[in-house]
Amino acid sequence: MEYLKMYGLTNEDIETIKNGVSDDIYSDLTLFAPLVKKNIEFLKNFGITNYSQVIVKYPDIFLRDEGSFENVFSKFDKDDLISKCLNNVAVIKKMVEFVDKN
Amino acid sequence: MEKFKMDGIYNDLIEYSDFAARLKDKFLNQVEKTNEIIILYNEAIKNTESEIKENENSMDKCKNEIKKMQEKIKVIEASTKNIKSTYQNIVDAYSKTSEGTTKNLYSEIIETARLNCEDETEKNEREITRLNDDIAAINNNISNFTKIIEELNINLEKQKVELSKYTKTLDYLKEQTRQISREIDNIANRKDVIKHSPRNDFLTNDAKPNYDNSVNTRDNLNAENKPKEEIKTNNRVDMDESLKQIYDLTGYNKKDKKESSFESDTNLENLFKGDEGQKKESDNQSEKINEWEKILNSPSDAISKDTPKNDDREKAINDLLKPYGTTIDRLKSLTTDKIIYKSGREVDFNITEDDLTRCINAINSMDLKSMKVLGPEITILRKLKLMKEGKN
Repeated sequence: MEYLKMYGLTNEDIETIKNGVSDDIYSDLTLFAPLVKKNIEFLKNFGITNYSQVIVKYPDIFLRDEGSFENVFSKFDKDDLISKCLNNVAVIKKMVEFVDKN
Repeated sequence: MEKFKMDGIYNDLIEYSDFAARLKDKFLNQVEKTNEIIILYNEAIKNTESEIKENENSMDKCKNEIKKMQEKIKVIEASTKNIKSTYQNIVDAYSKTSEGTTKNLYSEIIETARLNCEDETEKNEREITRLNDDIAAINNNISNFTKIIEELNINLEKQKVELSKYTKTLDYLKEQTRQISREIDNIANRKDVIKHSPRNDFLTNDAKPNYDNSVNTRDNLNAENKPKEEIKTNNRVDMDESLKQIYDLTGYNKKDKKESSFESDTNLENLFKGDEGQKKESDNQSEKINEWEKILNSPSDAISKDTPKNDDREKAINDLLKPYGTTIDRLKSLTTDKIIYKSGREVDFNITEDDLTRCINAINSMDLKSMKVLGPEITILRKLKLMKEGKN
């Protein structure tokens, strides 16, 4: 998971992720690192400035195809989403859950 | 040992940078075309508005004309009334005298007055009829003008809607161009970082390969060549990926080589020469091996011409993957070469055609549901991982 340091995460952050996810998710995050990186890049370029917080709190949302990940964000108003995420990163998780259920 | 000339990451960035630049050109082209279309629409709208105004002016003139004619009719009617009244007065005045030649004279006067009255009246009536006909024709014109103006207004509305769409499109294209420009800048920065990273110096040196722990060939290194400290760069994992690709393409099996010592770079050269054992393993890689040899400057005769091609196998697996919108190469690009668990245990992960065939044949309804939500690629890869772990 050292690759996550590229995105401003510290050793403590990586430890938090490790403690917060199952072994399956953890091993997925190491195995599918290239895919996770692509999705993080998308989030970063989308304009979410506190993307590192999103990675620490909800690393599992990055385990999906690029197209599927981008599709989630296409459903919402960009500026609104960016400002809401800045206040509370939980909005990203809610958004993903909403799109997945619908 | 000849130099590695390829940095997978750097070349990917160059490729992506080229693609982004081409995309930016296309967007700029579209911006230009959209601008031209907007100019045309503005002109068309101006013309339509001008036409509407002309038609409205013509219609107003017609209405004024009708007003004048109606006033003239009133005047003529008044005149007719006057003539008849005059005649009546003459009749009244001259008919009272009843005898002799005066009576005859007055009768003649009355008759003349009557004839004049009838003439004038007839003339006036004909004039009125003519005027009424003209008014009817003009009303018809007004009705045509009204239709034309209505149609022009509808066209104008449509043109304005189209203009608004193109204006929004232009805004979108400009925003996209800005984003691509930012992306190109970002890529340029990343290229600089990679170019100047310590890892890249390693790539262009003639020094012996200096692998870190994440690559399994560590066991192959002898004491002399073992690195004194791990090389840690941001590109470590992707570099390992590039190496993994090299191993896969040549059919080099790291496990089999654990026993042999990595005394010199000739061992690495041998990877690309392809001895008898490796020829059998790499029977599905000959074309790609040829490409790699050009890149890595291996001797061209080192690869056996007898190495059988296995494009068919790759084609077959890609055909199986086609419904899921992916390929074996694409799937490989989304993974690293090992699974690392929380405990620190590491397991090699390698995607082969056989693995994928078994995986695809085992896809069930749960997998299809997952594909719908998360996407086909991650679903297939996770299934593959579970199969290799013995959990599926």
